[in-house]
This record gives sequence, structure tokens and C-alpha cells, in this order.
Amino acid sequence: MSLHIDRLLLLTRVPLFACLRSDQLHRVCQLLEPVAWPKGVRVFDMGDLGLEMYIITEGRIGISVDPDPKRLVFISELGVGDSVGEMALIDNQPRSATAHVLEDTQALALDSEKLHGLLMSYPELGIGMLQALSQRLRALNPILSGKRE
Amino acid sequence: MSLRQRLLGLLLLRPGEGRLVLFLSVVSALGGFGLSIGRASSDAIFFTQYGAQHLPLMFALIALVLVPASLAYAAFVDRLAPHRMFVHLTLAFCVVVVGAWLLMTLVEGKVGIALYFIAYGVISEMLLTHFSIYIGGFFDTQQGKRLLPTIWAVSRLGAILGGVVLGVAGEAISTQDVALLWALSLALPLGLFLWYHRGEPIHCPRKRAQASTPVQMLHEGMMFARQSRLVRISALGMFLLVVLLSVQEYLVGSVFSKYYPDEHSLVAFFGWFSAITNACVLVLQMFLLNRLLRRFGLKVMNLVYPFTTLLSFGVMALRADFLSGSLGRINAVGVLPGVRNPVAAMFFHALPTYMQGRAHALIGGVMLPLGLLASALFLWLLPQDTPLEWVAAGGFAVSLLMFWAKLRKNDAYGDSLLDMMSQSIFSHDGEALEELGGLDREAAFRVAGLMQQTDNLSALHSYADLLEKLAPEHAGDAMLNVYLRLPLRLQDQLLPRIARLAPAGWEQVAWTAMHAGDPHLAETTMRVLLAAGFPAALEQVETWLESDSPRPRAAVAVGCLHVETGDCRARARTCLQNLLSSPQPEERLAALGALAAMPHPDAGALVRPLLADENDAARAYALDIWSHCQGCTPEEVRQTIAQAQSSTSWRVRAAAIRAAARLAGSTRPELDWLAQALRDPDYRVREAALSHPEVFLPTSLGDWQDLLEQRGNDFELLKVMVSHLGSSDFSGKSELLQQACDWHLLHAQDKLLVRDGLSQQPTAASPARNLLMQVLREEAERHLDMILHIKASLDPSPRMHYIRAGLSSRDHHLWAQALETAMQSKQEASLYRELARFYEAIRHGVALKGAPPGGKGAPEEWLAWCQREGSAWLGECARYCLDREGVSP
Repeated sequence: MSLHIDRLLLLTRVPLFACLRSDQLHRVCQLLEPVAWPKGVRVFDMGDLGLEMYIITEGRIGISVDPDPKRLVFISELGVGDSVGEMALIDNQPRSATAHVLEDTQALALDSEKLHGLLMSYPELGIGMLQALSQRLRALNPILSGKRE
Repeated sequence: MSLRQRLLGLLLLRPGEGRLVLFLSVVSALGGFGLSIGRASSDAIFFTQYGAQHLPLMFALIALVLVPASLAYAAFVDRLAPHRMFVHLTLAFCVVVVGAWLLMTLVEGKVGIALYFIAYGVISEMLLTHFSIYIGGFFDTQQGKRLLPTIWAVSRLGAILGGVVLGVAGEAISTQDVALLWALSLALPLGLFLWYHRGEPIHCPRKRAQASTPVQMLHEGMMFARQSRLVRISALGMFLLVVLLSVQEYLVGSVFSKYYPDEHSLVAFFGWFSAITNACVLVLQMFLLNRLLRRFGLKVMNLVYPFTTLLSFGVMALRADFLSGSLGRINAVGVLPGVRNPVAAMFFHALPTYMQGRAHALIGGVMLPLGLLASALFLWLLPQDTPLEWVAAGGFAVSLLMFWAKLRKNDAYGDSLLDMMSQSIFSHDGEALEELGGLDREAAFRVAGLMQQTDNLSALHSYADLLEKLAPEHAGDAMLNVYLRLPLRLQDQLLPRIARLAPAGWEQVAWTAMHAGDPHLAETTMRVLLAAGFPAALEQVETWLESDSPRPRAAVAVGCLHVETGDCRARARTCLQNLLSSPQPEERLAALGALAAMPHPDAGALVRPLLADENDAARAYALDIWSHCQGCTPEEVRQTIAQAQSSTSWRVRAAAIRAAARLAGSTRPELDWLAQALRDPDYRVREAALSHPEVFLPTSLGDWQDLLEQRGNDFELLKVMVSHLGSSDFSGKSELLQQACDWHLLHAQDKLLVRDGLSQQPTAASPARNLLMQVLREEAERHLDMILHIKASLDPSPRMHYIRAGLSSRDHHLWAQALETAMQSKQEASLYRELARFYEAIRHGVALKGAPPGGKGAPEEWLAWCQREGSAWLGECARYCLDREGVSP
């Protein structure tokens, strides 16, 4: 139980879950699986099948859309509290980017079925996800407009 | 406590509000100063140069100017941002006042004086109107009650200063030059607005369907005013107010001009009078009005001005002398701006934001001139030698009418708030399906026709539910009519319903459809036709039971199990036994699936061994089938359900709670099963628990009494319990639920006091303690929500649902509106005032008075109390805090 509370204390800092009460967050904690990656590995490559999303609790992950997964050119860097990999779970399409671990990283993983269950249980989580996706789209706008020019 | 904190506490300021209140106070002070000197100088110069007998003409002229000015204002007020509108207004007013000064000083005659008097009448009205809209936009209803009186009070400070300036300098400077001072006091806020709102958009956000041009804005405002009872009754109140004010001004002017025939002495008297009155009003507004508003509410405070008006006219009707004149003047320059204006401005919070400016302007623009014209006509027609006491008696009668209008306005305010809430919140209003009434045969066939337009299963079931509910006698025929035209997948889903409703000739239709080639449809058809004893199907039993695939065999066996005669039952039973004991999961699942679709009481013994099957789907099916059977011992039920509820599979847990509900006839289901399922991490288990919660709940009032307290911290369960008890017909339920309300109120208070106690501990808070404080706050909020839920369960109207939804909203305007709506309740006003106190403690961190359980400074006691009296989750967090921080946090 105290392991879940430790995890919950981490999740209280994640904007995605800001709308949940602590007892609801406690239930969410029971659905998450801890994962860890050392610096330099790739969490997933562009085109992979998307099975899980991750909430970063420690470390940093760089997102690259370069077709060559080995090239370290990032369109964004994600840190503690950010989520990564949720797009493939929402639209059931292959991964749209490659995720590089920039420093030793710990995260909590959530699979597709559990994510859908969470969204059914707490629809307000969907708003949090939409906000996060919108922010990423906004951040990409200058890059996209630069390419068009 | 520092001096600053004391001052903030005295002014009811919350963290983060200081800067804004300071800015608005400065603007308010400048406005109050300007209006004070404007009024005193224009009154003095007018009464001495023209005399009170010319007042009617002035009223008529002010009315004529106000109409176009207010219409123009209404056309733009909801298009431009309030601060930008203020810039335009103050600029225009400066020009008018300076123009009046020029006319008074450079042009001979009295035209400038008349213009100055009219300018004051128009400017004061429009400035006050717009200032209340401007400051109202910064605050929600509850903030407004706390802060607006303070801001208005500062305008009194400005007014006092203006009075003192005129009192001291009234003899020294010419009255005309006071106009320049007023113009300067208008120009200063203009600069402040430009500085404070630099970079902000100058137009209001507008929705697509709303009016855009000034003419459309006016038209939309007029339409709204016609529909809103609050606007209509406010308009009547405004008309009566203007008439009363005009008559009072006439009476007071007539009295004082007898005592002070000289212009300079009159302006000095008015100045000092204004200063003293405003000083009293200042104290009232700054330290009392906000507390009175929070203590007695808007409705009671709305009756203060009508009461003092009645009093002042009553006294003058007895004797029109210096004393009664002073009372009338106090009412007009003290109570009116000090109490009536701030309170009246708050009533506009019950109107949609995009309409507040126009409603305000239209009331002012139409009713104010009408009132002035009516006053002018009355005073014109009044014979010169009419005793002032008689006029005052007429005013007394109109005051009574105004009192009545204010009472009506109070009612309209509550209704308007509720209207706004209902438009802001999504709510299921009643059972729409039942409100539709019944369907005749033709309509039922039309609804069934809609089934052909969908390939969606849930839509199909919705249409079928609608038909069965609203046209039970035609539902079977209507469904059968479209059956063959539906996709095979949908036919498969609809067939069991048709079989249950058994319209004439359904077996033949189903028999035809069975040969369309869909294996699932074929299995379902075999099963239902055999169960119905359809001869053509019975003839095929031998052949079907020889099928290679387990699914048709299972379907046929289950169908035969339901046949009452014939030897096929024995064969079916053997076939099912073979399938259920097969090592192949697909064979077991085929048999279980068919049995679950059409359970039979005899199947209990067959499926009992599968209640612990390793396959989750098989186990869930087995639970479902087993729960339809008779003859289970209570011990067997308890063991089976408890084991299934601890499964890691949501399917099994959901099947367990469904089975538990179904077994209500054979053994009393345990409330803990329901409680556990309602707390389940998986939403499907929670949904299953909510399908028939009533079978788990007590059947006697005595049991309810104990359970409501014992389960007081199990909020999910309690919500279900309260809903059920509220809709039951137990005679003592209201008293019981009222006791529950008191219990929750007490627990909310205790949890907030413990939270306050923990937050004031000298050591720095650890994450564990922060979490504990968060949980205490959340649970206190849930106790308050439970109180609202209890009230909603006893109130058949949707009012409480709106309030409850509003109070759980993160939108602070909606939250404040909901609280204000709740406080309009006549019977429960004290309860909601108490709730408001707790909500403020939760939302704004305002400390509550009182000692936490176990006393002050006893953290060990608090943690023990959390474990003893709190929910399981709170107890867990308290233990965690104890582990991490030691005995004394």
C-alpha cells in the first residue's frame, strides 16, 4: 500500500492527473507499471506498434521525427510529469516518432485497455490529454510554418 | 498576527486580491470625489440661481438627454471591453463638464448653469452604472459580497474629501470653478485605465449567434428585457426610485433653501453635510456592509433602502422641517449610495454576463427618464401652495409600492439565478423516456423502421428499449416487421427479444432468417426456436446435435433444456455435461455462452465446478448462470462471491456483483459486496454494481439509521444508499436524512479543523503530511457534497442538482452562482450559510474557528482520529504520515 502512496506522491506532480482526487489517483496507481531505461536507449521507434504510454517520473526523453531512428535531432524534449506515447494508443496507429532516453529515466507505463478504462472512469482525464496534445501542436506550429516557407 | 494580516482579515481580503482591490479603490475614490463636488456645486448653484420651482423642467431635460445617451451606451457596452468603454465615457464626460464651465464663465445668462445641472444628472447615472459593471466583471458573486462594499466604501472616502474641500473652500473659490476640479477628477481615472489595462483586448469576446452591430445589440437587449422577470421588476423599481428621489430632492431643496437663502452658505452646508454623511456611510460600507451581506444575504439587504425611504417620507409627512429634511438628504446621499447602489449592482450577477451591461443601460435609459418625466409632470401639476407634508404623504404611498417591488425582485432574483445555472450546467432533467407517454401502433412501426437505418448495436437496443417501454403491446409486431430487412448481425441481437415478446408468426420468420448463412444467427435461432417448441426445429435436433462445431451443439442443447416435454432434454443435458467438462476451453465457453444467453434453473449443478475455472471468461459465465439457479446455501453463496470479488479479472468481479444481486431471493446479499464493487478500480465493475444496488440495501428504517452513520465515510456506497432512501416511501426518511446531514456537517468541520491544525505545525510539512492535508480537504468537500446529495434526494425539482453540479465546478463564477442560488432557500438558509463557510475554508483556505478533535496542538490525537473516524483511505494516509514523520508531525 505504501508503495502505491509513494507512487501517488509522484503522480500529484503530473499535470495530466491534476483533476483527480487523491483516492482516485490511488486507484490509478494500482494500474500503472514502473519501467526504467538507461541513458542512450530508445523507448520506441517511429513505425513501431504502440502498446503503452508512459508518464515520466524521473529523467528526460527526446522526441525525434527523423526517419533514421539513430539521428539525434529532437523536435521536443520531455521531462518529469510529461507523458509520452499516448497518440498511438488513441488512434491505434504505429508510433509517429522515435523516443530517445537522454538521461537515466524512470516512468510509469499504462497499456491501451487500462487507458481506455481510465478515460471511461474519469472523463476529465481526456481534457488533460487534449490540453497536453494541444500544447505540443502549438509548439510544433513554428517548426511547421518554417518548413512551409 | 501582523497588522497587515489583521487589516486583510478586517477587510475580508484573501491572498492575491490586494493589488486589484487597491487599483479599483483608487478609481472608486476619484469617482466618489468627483461626484460629490459635482453634486454639491450643481445643486447649490442651481437652487440659488434658479430655485426649486424649476426642478421639474430640469428633470424633464435630464430625461430627454438620458434617453439617447443610454441607448447609445447600451448599443456599445457589451461590444467594447468594460475598461475601454470607461475610457470613452470619462473622455466624453470631461469634455461636457469643461464645456459647461466655459458656458458658465464666458457666456452671460444661466444656460451654463442649467447645462451643468443636467450634465451632473446624466454623468452621475451613467458613471455609476458603468462603474458597477466594470468592477462586477472582476469578481464572482461571493467575492462581490466580500469586496464590493469595501470598494464602494472607498468612493465614500473620496466623497468625504470632496465634501471637506467644498466645506473649506466653498467660500473661497467660485462655485463655477468647482466644475474644473470635477473635470480633473474625471481625467485622472482615464489615465489609470489606460495604464492598468495596457495590452488588453478592447472588444468583448462574442459568440457566433450573438448580435454584433449596435442596432442588433439594442434589439437583443430589448428582447432579453422582455423575457426576464428580474429585468422587468428591476425596471419598475428603478422607475419608482427615480420618482421618489426626485420628489425627495424637491422636498429637501425646498426645506433647505428656506434656511440657507445664500448660494455660498448653501454649498458649504451641503459640503459639510455630505462629508459627515459619507463618513458614516464609509464606516458602514467598509466594515459592516460586507458582513451584513454575508450574514443576512442580498435579499434582506435589498429591503434596507425601501425601509429608510418609507421612514424618511413618513417623518416628513408629519412635519417638513430641518430634521425631516436632513433625514431625507441622508436617505438620498447616504443610504442610497451606501447601501442601495452596491446591493442593486449585485442583482445583475443573476443575468448572463453578455447581457448585464445592456440590461443595466436599458433600465437606466428607459425607466430613469420615464421616472424623471413622471416626477416633472407631478411637480408641475402640483399647486404652488401645496403643503410639503402632503407631498411627502404621496411619497410615502409610492414608497410602499417600491417596498412591494423589492420583494418581487427578491423572488425574481432566485429564479433568475436558477435559470442561469440550468443553462450553464448539463443535467439529466427527469426521465425523458417516461415523459414521452405511450406510442400507438403506427408510431411504434415508424420507430421500428428507424432500426433499418443503423448498423450500430447500441442504437438498435435503444430503439428496442424504447418500443418495449412505450408500446409494449405493439413492440413485438413492430420489430418483427423490420426483422428480415436488418443486417444479420443485428438480427442475431434482436431475435431473443422477439422470442420473448412472441408476436404471431415470429417462429416462421426466424426459421427463414436462420438459413441466411450467418453461423451466429443460426445458433441463436436454433436455441430460441427449440425453447419455443417450434416443430420444424424439433425435427432437426438429432442432426444438429451431431454437428462438428461445439457452438451449434451447445445452442441446441440449451434450447432443448427449455423444452418441457420430450426426450430431447435428457440428451441435451448429457451434451452440455460433455461440453462443460471438456478440457478444451472453447467447448466449455460454447456451452457456458449458450447457457448464459438462456439460463435454466437446472443448470446450477452443471456449472458449479466451473465457478473456479482458470479461464476468466468461463468463470464469469459460470457465475452468471449459477446465480439464476436455486438451492445454494448461504455459506456457498458467501464463499463463491467473496472469492470471485478478489479475482484479478474485471469480468469475474463484475459477474460476481451481478450474481450477488440476483441471489437476493435465496440469501440476504451483503452490503460489503456492493461497497467493494463500487470502489473497484475498473469502471465496468462499478457499472455492474450500480445496475441493481437496491437488493443490497436495508428494508427497515431501524437498519438504515445505523448504516447511515456506520458507512458515513464510504462515499460511493453512501451516495447509492441516499439515492435509494430518498426515493423510498419510508415515513421517517426525512428526519433520518436530516440527521445524516448534521453528521456530515460535523465531520466536514472536524476534518477541516484537523487540516488547519496540521498546516500550523511548527515543523516543515513533508510530502506525507501534505498528502494527508489534501485528503482531509477532499473528504471535507465530499461530506459537503453528500449533504447536497441528501437535499437533492428529498427535493424532486432539478434545483439541487444544478446547485450540486455548480458547487463541484472548477469555474469560480459558476461555483459562486451555485452557492448564491443555494442560499436563496427560505427553509435551509442557515444550513447553506454554514456550507458557504466551509466551502470558503476549502477553496480559499480561510481558517475555521474551533478546536479539532482531540484539542489544539495534539497531532497524535488527530492522526489517531483520522484512522478511527475517517475513511479507509484517510486512515491509510494518516498511518503513512505517522510512518514517515514519526509520532509528532
